[in-house]
Amino acid sequence: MKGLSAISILSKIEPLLLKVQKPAQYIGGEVGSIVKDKENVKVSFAFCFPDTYEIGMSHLGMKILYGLINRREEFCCERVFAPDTDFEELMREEKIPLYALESLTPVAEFDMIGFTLQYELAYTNILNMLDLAGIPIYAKDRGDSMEQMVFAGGPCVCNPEPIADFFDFFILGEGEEVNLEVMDLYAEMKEQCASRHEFLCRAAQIEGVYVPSLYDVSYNDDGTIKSIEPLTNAPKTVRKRIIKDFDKVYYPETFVVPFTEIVHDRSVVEVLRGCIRGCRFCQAGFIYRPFREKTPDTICKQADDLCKNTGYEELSLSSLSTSDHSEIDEMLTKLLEVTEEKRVNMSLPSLRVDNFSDTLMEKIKRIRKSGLTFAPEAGTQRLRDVINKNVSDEEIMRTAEIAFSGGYFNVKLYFMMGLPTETDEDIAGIAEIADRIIELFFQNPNRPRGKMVQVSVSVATFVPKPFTPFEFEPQATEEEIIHKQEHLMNSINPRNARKIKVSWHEFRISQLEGVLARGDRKLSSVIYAAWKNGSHFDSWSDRFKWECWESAFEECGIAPEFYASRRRSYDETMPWDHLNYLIDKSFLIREHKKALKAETTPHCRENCSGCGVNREVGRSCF
Amino acid sequence: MKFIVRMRFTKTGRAKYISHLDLMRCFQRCIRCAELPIAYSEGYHPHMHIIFAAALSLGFESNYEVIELGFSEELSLYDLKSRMQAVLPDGIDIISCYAPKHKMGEISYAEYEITLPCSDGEKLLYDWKKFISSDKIIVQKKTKRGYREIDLKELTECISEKNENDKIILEIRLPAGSTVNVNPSILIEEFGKNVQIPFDFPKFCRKKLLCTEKTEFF
Repeated sequence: MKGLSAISILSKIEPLLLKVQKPAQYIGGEVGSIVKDKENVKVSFAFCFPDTYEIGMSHLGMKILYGLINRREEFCCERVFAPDTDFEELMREEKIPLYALESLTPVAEFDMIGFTLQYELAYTNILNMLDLAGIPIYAKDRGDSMEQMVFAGGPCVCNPEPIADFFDFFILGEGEEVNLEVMDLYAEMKEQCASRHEFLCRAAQIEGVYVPSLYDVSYNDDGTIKSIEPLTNAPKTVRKRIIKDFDKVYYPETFVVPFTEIVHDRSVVEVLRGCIRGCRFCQAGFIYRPFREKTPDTICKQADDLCKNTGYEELSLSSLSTSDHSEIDEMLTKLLEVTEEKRVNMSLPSLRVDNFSDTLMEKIKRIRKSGLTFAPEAGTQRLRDVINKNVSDEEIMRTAEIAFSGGYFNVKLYFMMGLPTETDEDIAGIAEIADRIIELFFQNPNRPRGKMVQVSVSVATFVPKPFTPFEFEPQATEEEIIHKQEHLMNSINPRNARKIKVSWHEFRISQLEGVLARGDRKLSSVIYAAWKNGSHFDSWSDRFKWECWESAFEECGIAPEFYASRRRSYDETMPWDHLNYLIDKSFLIREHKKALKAETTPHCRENCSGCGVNREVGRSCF
Repeated sequence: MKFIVRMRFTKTGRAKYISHLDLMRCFQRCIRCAELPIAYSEGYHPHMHIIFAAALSLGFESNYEVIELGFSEELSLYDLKSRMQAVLPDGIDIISCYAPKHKMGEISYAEYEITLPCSDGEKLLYDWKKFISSDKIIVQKKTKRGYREIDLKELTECISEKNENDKIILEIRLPAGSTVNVNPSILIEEFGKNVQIPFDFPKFCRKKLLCTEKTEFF
């Protein structure tokens, strides 16, 4: 498919664009997009998001790396998304290869092809995109030249083993420095006409770069891992990268502003990285450590620049827990000055219930009205102690009270089911919380008049993830989950049934996520077979086809239960044990034991629990 | 007191795939980027004073798009043009800024250039002449209340037609505006059913918006 120029791509797609939904997503040219003349570029980078435009364009990491790389004159970074099924069908019919949006050149012509792995269920989309691009799917088939170097970064890279066979290398941790280091090395070795293997061996010496082909994995008879050994002088363990001075790290002054509406269509400022909370189910809470924040002045400056340069009418703040910013009041006060002057609306996701103060509420009340979202995660105090979600019933009720007095009448509650040690009592607790919130609404003299309270209860199936204290835990089975769902529905007070809306994820999707999250290299053949059987867009519940996966597992002779619903012992070698996310395994074991005893761990600001990050970083976190 | 300006601009190249609603949002954002003193309506949800003269079909190019902007203070038209042009996407080029002359409702016709790529221009042009000189060209037009029969022959004015061997280029005038509006694609679709050799993906470009007397709309 090589050799197709941009002009021929354009002439080939033009007759097709009016036949598909939202054609503007396939043609580029948005305000803020950067088109460079490839003649003057030393290394070209196709940044691939393995989902549709409307999802991928909402992703902050892509915006950061896009700006960062394009700031360097000798590099170019272009965007690539998975075409929706209507356009993909036409592309395949007309033999149009996957292309990048800026220059409309085929992805196959780029030097480096980087994917961001935000969720496990996008894995089949990666294979599909490589196939559409005409790039060999298995890394071993890509030949000896340095062309088409396929790599990935993002949170799922903390256990990339199930997809290791498809990638030349992975980047662990935060990308702002290491991506440029790798591209510099690429530029240098491309000039020397080095081979793929030579490049990968050198790249493996860069901190944060993991080259899976340089490691040999051996297995025990029971299918568990015996050892993971580096083959050459690659490091025995690969350490993730972190940005030391987060306040000074590069942040884009503008975004590519799409024409079509996307999921998060607004300016975003990242206010902090990492999380102090240590909720035991939450992978992000561990793999993004240590906690670092930007100063209110930096945040305001970045908000101001973005609002001005994008023209967006809305600003939101990004973090794992914005209300944990040490100067939250000063930050919001200053930000509101900026946004009010500019007629910009501010939205605030990720606010925790427990430090929702009246004054903070007063401030955000000026901002939005539609609804409030809380995540108690579990129905009883005991189970919340197990998962270290330090939120009490009283705090949930107090927050609902403030919310109702503040004019809110929609409350969204997030829970999980299938958590370790969970009993029927914990499940019934979910219904009780919803019930008590409704009662609170009617008892509140200041409740919004003429409105009916609506409590949406969203119950996800718990998926144990690597680098969390629950990485040893089995995932609940289908029978268990069905029982829990039934028990929840039976526990709802019939009087309030119409005011409570319960939703949950399809079990098979969560199970597959669990398999892929803690899987090993043996799964690559399953992923390949599932894609061949017609799976992609697995994270879209309307397109998820379990039968494709079911037969893939069968064809490969692999039982999903081995990965999803098996308890691991503390001394089992995990597929990701050679990847160092700065968290000690002994800490995870300690936390796991405490969880089983329903003992909580205070947050990092209160007391260091010794996860190991500060030793690795060389300073205390606070 | 509002300062009202109309702006004529093109919509070409990649920009032709921006839908009408998306273009509206794009202009709103560009006005904010250019930090222009746009006027807002009163009320709980203030919106910018922005009015498009006539919506353009998705996929059509145009040299004659008109937008009206209301500002809260007077500003130099030259300054307005350069500040807006600096932030607009490729393909949207401002041709001129001026004080409104006509009412929006006076728009009555639009002229289009239609390019039909084909293997034999001579043959296709012959077909076109035959097609357009028929007594009646009856098609079903979709309206809010179902389908209605219209005679395109009566409504279409041919301005020019030429053969360039690998394509033919037609210039036609059709009713446009709020009372009667005919999309040239239905004419071309109907023509496609009456040809001996098929033509390729047709290209449409709006060249002019005209008032009732067929003078240019300003």
